[in-house]
Amino acid sequence: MTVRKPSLLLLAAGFNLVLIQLLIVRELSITLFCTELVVMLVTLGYFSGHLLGYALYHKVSERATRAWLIFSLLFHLPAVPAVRILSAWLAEHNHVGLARVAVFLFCSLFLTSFYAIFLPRIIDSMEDRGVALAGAYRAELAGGGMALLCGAVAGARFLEAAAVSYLFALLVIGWSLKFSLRGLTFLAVLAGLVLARLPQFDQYSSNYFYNHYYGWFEQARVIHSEHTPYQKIEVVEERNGERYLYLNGLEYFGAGSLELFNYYLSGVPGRIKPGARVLIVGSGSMSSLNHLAPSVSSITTVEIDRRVAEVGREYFAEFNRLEELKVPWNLVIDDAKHYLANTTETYDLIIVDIPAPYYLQTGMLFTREFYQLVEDRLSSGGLLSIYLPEFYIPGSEEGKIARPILAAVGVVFEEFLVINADDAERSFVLAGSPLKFELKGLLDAINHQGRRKFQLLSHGHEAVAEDLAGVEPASFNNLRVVWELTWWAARQ
Amino acid sequence: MKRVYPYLVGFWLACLQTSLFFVLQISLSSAFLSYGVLLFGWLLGSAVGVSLTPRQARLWLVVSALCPYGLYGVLHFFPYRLEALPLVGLLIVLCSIFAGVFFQAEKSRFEKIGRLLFWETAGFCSGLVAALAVLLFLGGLTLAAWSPAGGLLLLVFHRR
Repeated sequence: MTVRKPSLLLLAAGFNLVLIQLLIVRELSITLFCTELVVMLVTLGYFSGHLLGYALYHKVSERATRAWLIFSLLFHLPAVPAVRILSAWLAEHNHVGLARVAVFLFCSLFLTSFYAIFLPRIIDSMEDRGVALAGAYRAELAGGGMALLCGAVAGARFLEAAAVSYLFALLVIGWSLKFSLRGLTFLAVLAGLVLARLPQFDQYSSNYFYNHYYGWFEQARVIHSEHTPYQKIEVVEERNGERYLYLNGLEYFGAGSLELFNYYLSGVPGRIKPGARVLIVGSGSMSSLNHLAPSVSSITTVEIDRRVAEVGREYFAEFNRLEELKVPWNLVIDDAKHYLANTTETYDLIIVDIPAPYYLQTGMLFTREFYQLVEDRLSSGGLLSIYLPEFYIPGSEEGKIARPILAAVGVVFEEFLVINADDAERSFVLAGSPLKFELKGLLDAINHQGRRKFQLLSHGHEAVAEDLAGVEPASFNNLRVVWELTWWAARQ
Repeated sequence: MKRVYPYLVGFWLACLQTSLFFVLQISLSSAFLSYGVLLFGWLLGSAVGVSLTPRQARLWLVVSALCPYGLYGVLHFFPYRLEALPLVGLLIVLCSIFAGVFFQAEKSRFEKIGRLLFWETAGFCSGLVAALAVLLFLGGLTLAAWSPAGGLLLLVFHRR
């Protein structure tokens, strides 16, 4: 194969391959309920495309390569919203398993295989393969590095910047494949058409996804969507104006049961620790602030993703009421582990308000080691407040997720108390060394807005002690809770 | 054997990358900076490696297998300290040099370079699955402790 400037072609191919890894793998994972398992499946699809390219590169003619380029230009980017619609439709008709296979095949066959044909082709076509390999490989790696830089520089406009640069890189490949001026103009017009229609198609498919994939929305629309280095943030608004915050397609906050979630996680411990200095790990809608403000003396929020905090501030003002906040509030952008290990501050109450352990990254914040970091930063008599990703019922067949987390809390803290809140559909845990509050104060705090249905289980309760005996605590070396939760999600 | 070696190298590199990422997350930070340093360091190391003479492949394999323990040591003595990042980045570059040298060393065994890339990538895919399975079922620390040294087993398969 003869090409113009092979290194430029490989630079463009490497650039688009990393863009696919950064953005499209995430997008496709979201359409399948984004868990560690799904990310792995889609990643395997990504690399299977490479395998296909490496297996077929010497059989693809120049004419076919050019046709493949046109096809890629037309369909790669629109394929993401198309898969979103397909996945939602399949899920609505109870074909989720089929959707996964379809996405896997789609990734393998159409996305990455096109770019994988160039590296071996160019190396094989050169006389000195040693020099060719070094130059070609370096060019492709440099393209990947440029895509990473693009992600870092573009910030909140990453999606738009990525779409433009992705198509531009395809045009560069077209030029390198010796398309004529007329051919290149044709490609540029196609790219322009794709770019012009993509935002509407993307918006339509996002709305379609939420209304059909999840059974509980009706005429909802996505009013905010962006990619950050950590996740995709979306705000979904229902017809009645209620808003929901989704991170990587997983519900993180919504009016209703998730508002009650913050009531138990933040409001209740805030009331039993009046005047407390509080640290909240994770921000989301930031409605925890509103629950805490009436009773505590200061609040610090530590959040790894600045944009989550900013979106929470902008779209969930009615819940966090930041404008009316009477207590000092400090927002720290940092990884919680890093912050806790380095701060010299101590807190009377630390609330861990993070997404469920669907991924290893969040799973690490449900471990013994993390709770130890928390314990080290609690003042004497300080309190930890967390939630469990499932109801905890001692002796029940379920509880493979709750038990190791509770065992981890039990290893670090002298005492804990589980609140099984029926109305919030969750279990919450208060822990301390020891727990320093009156039971009556806790009951008053839970019922202060009216009588609630809940159950209390103390660490000393015989059934709890018996249930947790021999359970290996969740730790950096025991992250099975991530597997249990992702496997549970896969079966739903 | 011609295919087995690149397959095993790919398998090992996937385990090594997963280990490094895991250790950076638990001992330094889960912020994008850790991911960025790992990815940039790996790309840079591979680019350097592919430019080196293939005769040193065995040496770089040993360096790649041992450097992660140096990195663990740095993070053990300076946990959650971003000041350690330059040293961490340097160690990652050293860890990944073999990933580039390997292609130079093996290219002559394959008439078509695509075959080499194919088997290395196939091994990488299998390694990703295996590393995740070890991480979830046997523990992240177990993976981090054993996978770098596992690279030394490749010396058995390596031919001059």
